[in-house]
Amino acid sequence: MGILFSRVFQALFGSKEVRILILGLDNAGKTTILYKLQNETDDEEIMTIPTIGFNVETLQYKNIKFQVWDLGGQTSIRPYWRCYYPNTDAIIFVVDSADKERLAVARQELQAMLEEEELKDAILLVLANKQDQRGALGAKDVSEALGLPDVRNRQWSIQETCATKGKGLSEGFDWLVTCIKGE
Amino acid sequence: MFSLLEALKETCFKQPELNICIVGVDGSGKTSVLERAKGAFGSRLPPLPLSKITPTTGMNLAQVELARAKVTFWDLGGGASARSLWARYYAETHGVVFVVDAADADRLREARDAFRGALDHPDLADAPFLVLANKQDAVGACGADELATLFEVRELQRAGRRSVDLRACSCADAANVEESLLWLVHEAKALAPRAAPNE
Repeated sequence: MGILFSRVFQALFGSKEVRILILGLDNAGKTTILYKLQNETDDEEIMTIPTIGFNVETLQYKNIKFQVWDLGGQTSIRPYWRCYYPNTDAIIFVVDSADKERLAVARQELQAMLEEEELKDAILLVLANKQDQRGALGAKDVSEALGLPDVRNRQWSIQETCATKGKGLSEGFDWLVTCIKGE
Repeated sequence: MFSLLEALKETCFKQPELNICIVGVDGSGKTSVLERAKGAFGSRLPPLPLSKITPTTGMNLAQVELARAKVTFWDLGGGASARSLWARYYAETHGVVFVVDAADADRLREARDAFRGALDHPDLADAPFLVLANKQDAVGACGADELATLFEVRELQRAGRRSVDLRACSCADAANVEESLLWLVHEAKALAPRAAPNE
């Protein structure tokens, strides 16, 4: 009875918490993006250190609560990403657009992740980050390098961003929110 | 015995899977067409209100059951640099919706060139094409006949080698979108065995 009541209550007033994973190779800018999303108006520069483990924050955006997990991206800890896959609504995959040597590695990690059964229904937002860096590739080249046009059964979008300046993040996040909320 | 029945059922009732690409230059209304398709044909995800649509930089998806087939619509971003990615989908495409903003007279030629590029692509040699002259609700929108002349649709139809049609529609008023898409899906289904050499 209690469960029934709480379900009805949740359907009427509650907002289901949306679960988002921020993934990508080490030094792509995941943690910066998480904290920029949280303090949108804050112009202060965010100093981060390499994440060992994860950071998790709850964000409130247009009446929806988001639980956002930023998982460490170093080679040794990438195998643990999959522990976080169940019930994920969306993946934000962050790449350092100027780090051309490692785009192939990013592609492998991304494609392997998209094969996962538990992420079958998750939508994909790719952030081509570090656009302020010299030689950064644009959205189209990053899409090609990551093999995004080979994605057939999933909505995806790519956004050029410069996380330290907060550029492009809200556009990308707006897309996510619209797709998840469906309105 | 059971597996035999199962196999029989597979062959008799298996729904064909059709992939439909929605392309066209940016701002023509491709995502609106997709959302209308979601609404009209009942997809797992509810349609977005058209006012919430932002320019697509990637691919939006709708999967519906239609004309006894599983139909997947791929709505591809139409920005100038994103257009080169369209062809990556063609090998698995069974039908194409080419959306045109009929009210944007300045970009009709650009749209026609993009249309010719898709039509002449070898991977789409057997695929039916539906050109949607969208935004008929807008003032000064170019009518179906005028656009058909510009896109040389009648010539293509007369030549008889391609299944091509141009129809006027308005996503904003939901006018003629559903019917037009149905036509394309039926065409694609009829042509599908020939059009799917890659599967």
